[in-house]
Amino acid sequence: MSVADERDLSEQLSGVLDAITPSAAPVGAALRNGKLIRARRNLGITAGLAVAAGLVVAAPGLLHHPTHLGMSPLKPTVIVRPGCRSDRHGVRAPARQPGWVGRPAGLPATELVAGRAAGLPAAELAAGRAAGLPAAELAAGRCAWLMP
Amino acid sequence: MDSRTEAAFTEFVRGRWSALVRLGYGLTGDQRLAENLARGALAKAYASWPRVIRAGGPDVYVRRTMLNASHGRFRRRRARGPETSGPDDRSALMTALLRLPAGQRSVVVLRYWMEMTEAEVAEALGCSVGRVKSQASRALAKLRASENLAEEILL
Repeated sequence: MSVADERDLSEQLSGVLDAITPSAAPVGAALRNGKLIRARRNLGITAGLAVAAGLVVAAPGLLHHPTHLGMSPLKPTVIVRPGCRSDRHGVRAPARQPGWVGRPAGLPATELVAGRAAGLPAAELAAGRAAGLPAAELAAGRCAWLMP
Repeated sequence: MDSRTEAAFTEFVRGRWSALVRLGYGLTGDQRLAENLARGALAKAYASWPRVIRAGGPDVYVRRTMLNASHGRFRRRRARGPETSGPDDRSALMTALLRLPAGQRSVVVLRYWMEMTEAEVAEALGCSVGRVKSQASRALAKLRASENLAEEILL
């Protein structure tokens, strides 16, 4: 056997491929698998739409930032009280009204955070002073939080 | 989907199954793989039947799906390394055909077994007519020079 020309190749290919005896046409399996593919696709579309709808509903809350509410972070009122709960972010206390969140970003709106002298990096301490936190209170490790 | 669609699909599967398996065999050299390729392409066609009908008919869609799947399989196999074994009952022509790159093999099967025109092959493969011509020419040259085919001449 040799492939002499295109016609020859065509004849040889027909000989090989036409000799194949396929099994019975899998109509039922193709229908089932097709329905399964369609169901998965529809599920994916539904899930995608649900996520999109969720984002649309949640987006205003996610995009919310206290500075957008007309509060002035430039001239905050500093309230200092002793004995507040502290964690790795600094000092935090429950807020009685919407406040200006000093740091870190993304804390719940019900909590206000200000600086604490002990354990704060020098740069953050300096930033706290720059934001209006009284140095003496910071140095004493007292609670200080910022109100609009 | 309604019963009319199912009836049309059933008729299509019954009418094309043999040809699709043969096309798959030409692309893979393995009947089991050929039937899997055809079955998968048919299922995908059914899943998108209305769109498939609008886009030029199920023949084009199923053929294209099978070609894409066989090319993907060829790429994965090439990434794993050369095949060390295969069915022993392949003809010399099939063995030589399987040594061709997937693109050239597809051109050979579509052009010389399905007897499609160069323009039809180009459309099926999503490439230019010029590329089909060059692929066919290279494939023919390789098949002519194939050791297996030459051995059979000596026998």
